[in-house]
Amino acid sequence: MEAVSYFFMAWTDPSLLFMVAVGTFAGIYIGAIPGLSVTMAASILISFTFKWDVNDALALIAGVYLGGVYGGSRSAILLNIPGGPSSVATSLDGYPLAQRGEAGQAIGITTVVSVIGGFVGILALATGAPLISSFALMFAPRDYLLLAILGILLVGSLSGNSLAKGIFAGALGVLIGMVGLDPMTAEGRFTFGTITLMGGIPYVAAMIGFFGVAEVLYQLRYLDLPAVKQKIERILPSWSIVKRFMPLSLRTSVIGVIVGALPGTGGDIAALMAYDHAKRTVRNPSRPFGQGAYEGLVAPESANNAAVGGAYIPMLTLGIPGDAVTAVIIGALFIHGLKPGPLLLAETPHLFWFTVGSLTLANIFLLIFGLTGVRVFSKVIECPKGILLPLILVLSVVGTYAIQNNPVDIYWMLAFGIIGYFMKVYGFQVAPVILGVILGPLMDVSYRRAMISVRDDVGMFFLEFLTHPLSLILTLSLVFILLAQTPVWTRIFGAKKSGASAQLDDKQ
Amino acid sequence: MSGDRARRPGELVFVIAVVIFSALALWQAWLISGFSSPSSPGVFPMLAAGTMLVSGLLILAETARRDPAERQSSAKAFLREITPGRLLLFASLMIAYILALEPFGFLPSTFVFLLASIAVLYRGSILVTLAVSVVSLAAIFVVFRYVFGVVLPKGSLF
Repeated sequence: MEAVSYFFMAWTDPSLLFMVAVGTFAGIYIGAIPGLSVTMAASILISFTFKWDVNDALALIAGVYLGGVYGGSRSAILLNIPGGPSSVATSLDGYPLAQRGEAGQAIGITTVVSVIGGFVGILALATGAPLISSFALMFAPRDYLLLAILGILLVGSLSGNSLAKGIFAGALGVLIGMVGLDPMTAEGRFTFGTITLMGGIPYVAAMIGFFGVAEVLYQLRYLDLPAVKQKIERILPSWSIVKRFMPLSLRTSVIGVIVGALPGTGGDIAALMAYDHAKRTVRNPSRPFGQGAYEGLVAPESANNAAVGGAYIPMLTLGIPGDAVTAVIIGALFIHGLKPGPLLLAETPHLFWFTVGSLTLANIFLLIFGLTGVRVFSKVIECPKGILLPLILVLSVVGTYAIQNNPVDIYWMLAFGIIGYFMKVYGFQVAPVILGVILGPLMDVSYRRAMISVRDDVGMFFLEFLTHPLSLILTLSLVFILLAQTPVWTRIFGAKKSGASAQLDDKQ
Repeated sequence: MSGDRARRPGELVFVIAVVIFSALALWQAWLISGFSSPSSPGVFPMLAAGTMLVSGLLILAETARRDPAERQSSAKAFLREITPGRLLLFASLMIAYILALEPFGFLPSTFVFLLASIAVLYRGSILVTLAVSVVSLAAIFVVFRYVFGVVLPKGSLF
């Protein structure tokens, strides 16, 4: 009964209701503007909201997250530029539809299936998280270590095109997370005897640096892309169309939830896998795929919104982020003095049900905002980058400073921004760095607890990876992911993967 | 994988810097507590830095194998492709802005930064640039100072 009252908290409190609405609305637009990513928005927002009540902050972020993942589809359809990585697959069939003059219809269908996907994800979160959470209490420290490595490895290997670069980025993040006083012995690590470094490197500065400043610098290279104008007529899709695509939408939503719930993989991978699934299973698409098939729109858009609910599952139950945005949200929970993990549901059940409630509400707002105001929207999307980019930089500065009111944090942000730019230019992903920063301390402590529990016996430590069923499963998955990236594997199963990543490279 | 992509100007130098940084990090990690015990504070940092070094060396081997994009002077290509003039200009403005925050405070330095960078990037008329800068700065100030209750960077002069 209590759960129900927490669930409806955001629905009945006008100020929370307003937060979710504003978040969703802003998320749609932020997500739609190419170059403004949900991750960027979430990292900057967290610093502004840290003084707020935690509920307000969570409500706002839930809206931004759900709205942002959906918003990316708008520019993918209208401009053939995905608003974010999770709408790369959407543009494959969305833009051809717009070229045929069916942009309105495409946006309408996208909205409806995004909402369906969103609900499937939220349902999975509401039912799956309590289940996993009770199970998670049985996890040993070494399982956390394995899960964290798995998460970083998945982000590193699936989102980029080089496994070595992904692993490097993840390890760099872990190293950044190690700086400061050791949580177990209070010895200084990488402090070079300075007091400034003893408190560690502020992770919000790292997030804003890598996702805000680096992105601004990167976008400067694409300043002169011309805007394309589209005529938009009928948006509301007919009931028969919705009914026709419902089965596919539900199927790909399930894919989205599962991929989203895996630590380290989010909406971008989910969307590509769903697109692939649709291509393989739909016998008679409305048009050939790639030329404006509605199926090619339904599949990725259901999956990427379903992945949102999925990504919350490992974050809230294990403290391990499902993707870059949830890594940032974990950072927000830390700032508010909360510890995501198996005890979160037991100790603060209201937080969990409140999150589920706000996500549900955000999904409803998504339907409303998605089907209205499209005309205004095409104006906003034309906001020139020459004005937008300097403003994002100012917001990054304000956001970084807001956390500790320490100018040194701004210098960190600047440094990470410049390093992040070069990493992006040379094909290193920045998302694994942030996952590493967030997960590094957890990995360090888990590793040492596991080692201490076997009395520093290294042989015994490794043996336990194989003798406990859960650890064995995780170890095998790790080995599988590593093997899947080696040349032998690619030669056997390579054709399909290279096809998908080639499309990715084209779009980025 | 990325084997067939041509090497970008400056990529090799960047990857070499990555390897050197990783090696230095490994050395610093070793200084924390050495190999005194497998659960000492320095072991995990060493594992992280070691992973960086190994993956960095793999990246280096892969990068060195690829052909550079073009044969002309790499410094020129670097300037054109990696740090084009507009980017350099914006980056300098950004660094100057951040350094100016401590002496001059948020409002004056942000105003000058917005004015200059919008003038450079947007290339609109002076009036538009001025109006956009003033309006957006006022909006940021009101929203963040009063709605979000955020402390804005304070300078020693203002």
